[in-house]
Amino acid sequence: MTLTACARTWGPDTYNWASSAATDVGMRLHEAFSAFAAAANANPANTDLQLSVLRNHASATGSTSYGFVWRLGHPTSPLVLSFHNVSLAQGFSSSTASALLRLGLASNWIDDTSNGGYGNFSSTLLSANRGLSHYGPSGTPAVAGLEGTLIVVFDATPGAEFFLATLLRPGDDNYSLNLSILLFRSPAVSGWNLWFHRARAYIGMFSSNDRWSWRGQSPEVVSFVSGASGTQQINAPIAWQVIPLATGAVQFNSVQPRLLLPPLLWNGDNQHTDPRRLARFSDPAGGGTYYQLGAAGGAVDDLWLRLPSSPPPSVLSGWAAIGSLSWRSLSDRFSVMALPPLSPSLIGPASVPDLITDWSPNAAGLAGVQQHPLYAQQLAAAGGMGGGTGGGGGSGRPATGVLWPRRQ
Amino acid sequence: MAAILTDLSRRGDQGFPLPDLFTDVEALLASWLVAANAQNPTQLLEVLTGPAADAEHLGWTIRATLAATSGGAPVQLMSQWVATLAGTTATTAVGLAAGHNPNGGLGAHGLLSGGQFHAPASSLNPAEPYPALAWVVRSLAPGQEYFGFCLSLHTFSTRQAVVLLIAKDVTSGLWHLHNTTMGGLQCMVAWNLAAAREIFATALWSEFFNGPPFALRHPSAWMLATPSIVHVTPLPPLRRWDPVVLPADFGTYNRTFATGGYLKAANGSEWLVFGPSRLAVRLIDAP
Repeated sequence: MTLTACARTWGPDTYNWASSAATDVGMRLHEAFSAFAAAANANPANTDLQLSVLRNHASATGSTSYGFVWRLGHPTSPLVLSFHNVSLAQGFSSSTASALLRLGLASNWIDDTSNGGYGNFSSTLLSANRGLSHYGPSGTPAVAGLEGTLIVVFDATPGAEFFLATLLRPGDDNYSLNLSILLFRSPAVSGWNLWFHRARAYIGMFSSNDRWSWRGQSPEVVSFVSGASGTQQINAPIAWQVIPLATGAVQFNSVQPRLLLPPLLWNGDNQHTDPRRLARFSDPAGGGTYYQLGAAGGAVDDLWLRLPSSPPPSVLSGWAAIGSLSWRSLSDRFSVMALPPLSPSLIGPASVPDLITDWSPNAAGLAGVQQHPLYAQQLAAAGGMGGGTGGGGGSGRPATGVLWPRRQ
Repeated sequence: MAAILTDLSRRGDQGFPLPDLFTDVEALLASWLVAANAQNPTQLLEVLTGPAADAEHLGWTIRATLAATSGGAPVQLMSQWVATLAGTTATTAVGLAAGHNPNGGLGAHGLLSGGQFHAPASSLNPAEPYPALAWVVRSLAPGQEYFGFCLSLHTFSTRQAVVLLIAKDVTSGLWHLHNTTMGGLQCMVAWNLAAAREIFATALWSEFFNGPPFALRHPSAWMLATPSIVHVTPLPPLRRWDPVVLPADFGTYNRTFATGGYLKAANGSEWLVFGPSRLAVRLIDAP
């Protein structure tokens, strides 16, 4: 399978989320997702992981709410991901809520025309509206002269399928928010993983994330490891840790494969403010270019994309290469460090202390010493308990001669 | 592949245990150094000052000359872990050997500065009858060599240290040096070939969760302390760094101050939690 990475950009005052025109952002997103879904659905291993479009921008029944509803297949717990704006009010802070993203079990999705045509949920796993704002000439108040860009990156390689869509505003509006939706597969878990990432594009630091993976057959929130705050460092590959469940497919005391994010995604921390937003730089090691999709200093979850220069990623017909966008060059105070490939995690016990698996040195007195693989040897080396007072634990009992009384 | 372990633990109520303990470690280190230097002829590990050289400033000043050059001269790294008995303190540092002043303090050791330095911290008291839990781990597997010595005088978090860890950075094949204070503050210096300069670290990459479940991340790699946003002149350029990765016998455990913890993983491997750095060292390999 090939990597596809391309962009659509709209000039001043022509970016309009609240439109179902085939040439506007919403239906372009539908076009890209549909192309990915067709490719991913054709993979033989994805029979139970089919992606489908339940709603798109053309589903809007009013003039306010526009968005999409995607069904994410799963053998036992298919999900529905729904996103649409709920007002045309401009955002002004990280708590502004003019759009709504919801994730729920497909069995809880109500297929009706409520919510502007986008249906409803009887209950949700995730309902996020924080930091989701509408920008554009149709907004209230209208922000004039802003451009808008849609970036999509996807690859349907079996077992590592991913689809990334980023909406970003390269203009200098203080409150512009970048929004990225990543769906990806890993053989380590049973279904589609979701990373929903928001970051303010220009001034100030803001980030909000929702990360969903699977625990056995159940969808679950995950956290993941990233670098240290303020390092000006990005890293890849990023792995989410799969959390065990006593009754699930992932057991405690198990060897667990890592849940790897698409390796071209880099994550880290960049605390510079303007003009270093939406930056680009050539990989100092050569062979590729880094693009900043979201900036969220202080929270260690900047999102960068590294695209190889050879072979160049495919571009959807009528779309442009990402490199053609007006990125700003970054030249200093930034570090890139690849992480070594991780072996599977050795997962420990369900609770602590577990006297065999995690032996705290203050665990259990003499009995603990006798059981501890190393402390028991220390006891033996010191002559054991002596005097036949019992205990064993590698005592100094002679190998021959009087072996009675034996009191173990 | 697994560590060779020597248990040097001893009681603390029969005299202050550190002098004898350090003498025993020095003997193991000396024989390991001969072999390690022999199989790495382009690099050189030296004990500049060992515990025998100064009974009042007990510890090691280690210098590693690497198979890498800077400004035409071989790169030299240094690690210093010195217990000053009169002050009941331990002083720890790592850095470039150029920062070493032989007459700067700490008795026969001199003082290493210019890198990562932790000022003398009150963490040792010969008047206290603490036992010493002490392990030396080592390997001479080519490309994966290491010598480590950790110490725990108490389960309390200010009485444990990695005194010595001399190990290959398996990415570069160069030696790198690590130690901690008695409170677990970490020092690490390595030479980064990609960036052509020294790099420090104060943490290892570990799993997000402090547990449970506890998880062993493998291999162990340092979270490099790359330049920050602090404005300096000239501004540091945009750089790519190589990861600094420990030998395969090390994993990173998401729990600190569990020195002596013993992990039996589901794949049959067994690990000892080694000092307060979150490192665990493999004692028995998976079958």
